[in-house]
Amino acid sequence: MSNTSNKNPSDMRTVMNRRKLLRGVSALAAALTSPSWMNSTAFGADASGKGTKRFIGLFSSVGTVGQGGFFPLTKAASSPLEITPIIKPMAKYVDKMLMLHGVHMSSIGYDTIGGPRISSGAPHAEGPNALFTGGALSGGPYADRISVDQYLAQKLGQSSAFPSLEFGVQMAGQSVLKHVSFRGPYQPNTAVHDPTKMYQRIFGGALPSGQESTAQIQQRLAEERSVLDILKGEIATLQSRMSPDDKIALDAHLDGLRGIEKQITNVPVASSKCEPYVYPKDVTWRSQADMTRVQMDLMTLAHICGMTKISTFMFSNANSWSNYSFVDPTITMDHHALSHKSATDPKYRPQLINIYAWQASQVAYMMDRLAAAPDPTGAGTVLDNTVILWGNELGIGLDDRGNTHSVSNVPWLLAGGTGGYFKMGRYLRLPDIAHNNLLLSVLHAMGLENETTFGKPGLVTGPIAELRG
Amino acid sequence: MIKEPSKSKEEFSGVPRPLTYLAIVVSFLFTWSCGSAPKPTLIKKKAEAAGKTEQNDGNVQSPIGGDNLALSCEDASVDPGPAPVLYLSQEQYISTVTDLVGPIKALEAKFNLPSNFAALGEAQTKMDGVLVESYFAAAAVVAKEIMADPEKMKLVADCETVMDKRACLKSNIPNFLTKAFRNESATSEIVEKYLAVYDQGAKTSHARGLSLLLRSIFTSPRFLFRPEFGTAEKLGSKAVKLSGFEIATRLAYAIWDSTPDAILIDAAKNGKLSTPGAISEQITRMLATEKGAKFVQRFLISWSEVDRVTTLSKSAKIFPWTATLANTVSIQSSLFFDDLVLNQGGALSSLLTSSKVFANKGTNIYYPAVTDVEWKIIDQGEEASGVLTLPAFLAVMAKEDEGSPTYRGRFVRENLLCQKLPPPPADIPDAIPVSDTSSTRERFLEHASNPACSACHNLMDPIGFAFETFDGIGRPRTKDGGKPIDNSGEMFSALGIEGKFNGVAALGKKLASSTLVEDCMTKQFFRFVQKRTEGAVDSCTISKALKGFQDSKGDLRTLPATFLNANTFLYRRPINSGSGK
Repeated sequence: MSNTSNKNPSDMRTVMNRRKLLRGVSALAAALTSPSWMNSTAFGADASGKGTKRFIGLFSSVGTVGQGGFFPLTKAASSPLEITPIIKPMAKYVDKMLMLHGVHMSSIGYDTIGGPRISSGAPHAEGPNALFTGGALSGGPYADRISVDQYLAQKLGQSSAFPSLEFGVQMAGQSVLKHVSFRGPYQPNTAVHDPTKMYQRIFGGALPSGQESTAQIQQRLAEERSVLDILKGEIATLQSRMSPDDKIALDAHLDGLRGIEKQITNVPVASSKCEPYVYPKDVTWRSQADMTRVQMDLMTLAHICGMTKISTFMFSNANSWSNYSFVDPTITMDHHALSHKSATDPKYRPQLINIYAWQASQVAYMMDRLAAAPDPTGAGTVLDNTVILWGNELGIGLDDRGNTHSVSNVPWLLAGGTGGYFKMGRYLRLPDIAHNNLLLSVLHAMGLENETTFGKPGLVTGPIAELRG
Repeated sequence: MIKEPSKSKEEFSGVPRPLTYLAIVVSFLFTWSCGSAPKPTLIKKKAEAAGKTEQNDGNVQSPIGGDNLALSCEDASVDPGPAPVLYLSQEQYISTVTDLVGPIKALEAKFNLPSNFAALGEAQTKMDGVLVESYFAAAAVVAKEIMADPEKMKLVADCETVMDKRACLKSNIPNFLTKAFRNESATSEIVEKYLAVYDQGAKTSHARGLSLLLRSIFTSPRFLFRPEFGTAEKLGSKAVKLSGFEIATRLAYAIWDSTPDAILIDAAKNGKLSTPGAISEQITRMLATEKGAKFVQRFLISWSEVDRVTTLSKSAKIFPWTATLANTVSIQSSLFFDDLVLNQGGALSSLLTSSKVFANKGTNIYYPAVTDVEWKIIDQGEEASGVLTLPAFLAVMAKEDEGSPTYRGRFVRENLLCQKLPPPPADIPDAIPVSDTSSTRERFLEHASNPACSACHNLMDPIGFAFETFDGIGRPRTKDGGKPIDNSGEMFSALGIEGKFNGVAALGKKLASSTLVEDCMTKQFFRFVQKRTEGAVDSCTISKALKGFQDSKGDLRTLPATFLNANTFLYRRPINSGSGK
């Protein structure tokens, strides 16, 4: 029995439409010289000089190799971070990484802390829905509560053109496998995997430069607002007569309109490194490597250009069927099939490590780009003020074998400067705690230090003090 | 094995259940659990739109046919069941715009996601910001195209050559809004709202105003959604009558997958859709239109899943599969379904056993004898068995590199017997790789030897083995893995048709003789019309339809009108009864 039944039809397009992208690029170039954008850069500076806090959530799938692969062998509770084979591509950022062992996705409800693995369940489906929510599935294919990125988007992202952006690569399969970002219970945000569409979304709405006076721009904004206003009014009119569930359906429409409104009216605060994007030549849809690179580029550009402060990135859908033979030619099966092989098998262990190390090299690339961009406030670089949280749909398991489809010992990696909030450069072995504590810690790191809980009630004991030193 | 799903309490407790009712319509909700019970969250995949609502999983089985119909199904006990608000799918958005103003170029490209919802009772996916942006972008294209084409513009409002354009719009636009919003919108309040948007743009120019007006119309929730409020007229305690416009809208999207036409709009406006007789007349008219006459075919294409054939990817090393071939076998399927409806009496038995096959030059890897460019009908005798041997169907029910007895058996189990199987568990061993020295049957027999697999796979694979004379793209074959084909199959757990058999033709005959299949096809039509899976409240509607279907000797053509004329379709639950879900 294979998992092909879960897959969507494969995309028949093979080569990306470059012409369309180039049009988008010129729009960006134009936008960068438009009065509204330039002014915003000048006036948007934060006088506090504290830097703009950003959050990037990264999602990998089907677990990885634990001890000696992702995690160092040491059993010390706290040690300087040793560069393991998987994080080797990120070695130069050793001082900007904090690796966590002993943090479990307890909110899923089985495989509980310290206990045996209870259920064969559906970890591939549960994992992505629990990872950033501290919640679980219940009665539907979507998480039962808001995710940490969306909580941050509500609290910190409202002044951005995009309160958050959700990126994916070659997303396929059932709904339950394709989302890590949730606006609330059963309200998933689609991870867009088409870079042309994503480019158009983020940068396509830029105003043509020099063609309009400020008064004309004001008029255009008033016009757009009039469209949004009537639609919002119409939604309210219809909702007043609807059942509670139908109201929720129209709320999603309303949320979408509010998002469009922000895109139109919120002025981006860009780093000086916000430059027109040059598309790589000959990228192909079928290439996981190409799509990952282009989507990484667009995500970092969105941050650098001030279009958003919050984003998530899915290296693939959960239960990934990607074939990583482009990383390691000895790989003969898809990632999910490979993940079922023993992590101690001399043939499969290096393959599993190589896949994750390749993803780490992409994270390193992302960090390079963020490190090269000065923060718009002048306080260090964009990377200095960013909290990157990299997790996985599956854990390594309490026995650290790595192919048990466990939800324990998720290979967590915090990265970035975190605005100096966390004490980086370490490997922490924590005493079996729920990942809700980690998500709460992230809220604190992002400046929401009054928050006391996150995710499923009863699992949080507080932010993880050890992260700060 | 039979259990009531806990999520459907209301469905059960809310329905009056006299003993006669229960005894006659044995309509258990059940889940095949095959052995180890799967996590309920995964089985719930069909309940997407409702999120976490009472909507059941469609695991409904009535093993007994509808011979006895002394039901207490009188009007007073009608419960039309849940009807969550729907939005226009991508396909419906495009067909609706096309019917209103004519075709618009390149509209598909504006959508970031496929938003089509599967036809058979699958609920809609959740709307989110990305999808709203898609509709917003699509509306901008629609507005631009309308304004670039005077003929299109005239269909909205013929005001471009008039001096006082605003006054002209004010008197002309209500008519268009009524069509676009599928509701009476001439109330000055609504019209003024939309004209205010025009006014904002008209500060710059008439064209700007018009553009804003059009964009507002084509992203309005009145356009994008199909809200229903019902009327004050009750039928019993659980149903209210729908308004004329609501009926018109339900009919149009059910029969045409698009917006009501001028006749329906007029009928709704003039209060002519308030009696069952008048509605029935419209249904008859609509089913006779070019689009409506394809209703059964549209159902069959969706139900048989052959619509997936053009998106399949097949191993180039093993199969000569091309986009052209995929397209050709897709057309071949449509020709078969057309012929079934037009020339074979729409008979369920022909659907499953017909030896008639359409062939031309493009299909000669299947039928080498036919080299004509034109399609012609050939009789394949026992080699063909209706839909079950269509190359498109066989290619869909296959993996990239070989045919899949599991998929083929699962189709029989789920689509023909309405017995829903749980999804595969998370931890499954690798499939045995295709090789020249072993047969598909040998590789799939692994399922039977592994107890973790066999509980479920015994319900699928032994049926699917009967298809072994066809490869992964539906070509006939006599050998596999160097050995002669063994196409013996066996049916378990299917009352009346259990036992061993050889080959697809025998399977087709078995299925064609089964009341289980009649019952299931009736339910599949219900799902197609109602856009949800059936629950206990739908027992009366389905039993009546089944009776009619059996009386017609299994004529599929009778089912659309039956369900469209049913109370379930013509009524809705009152709002705020907690049942609008």
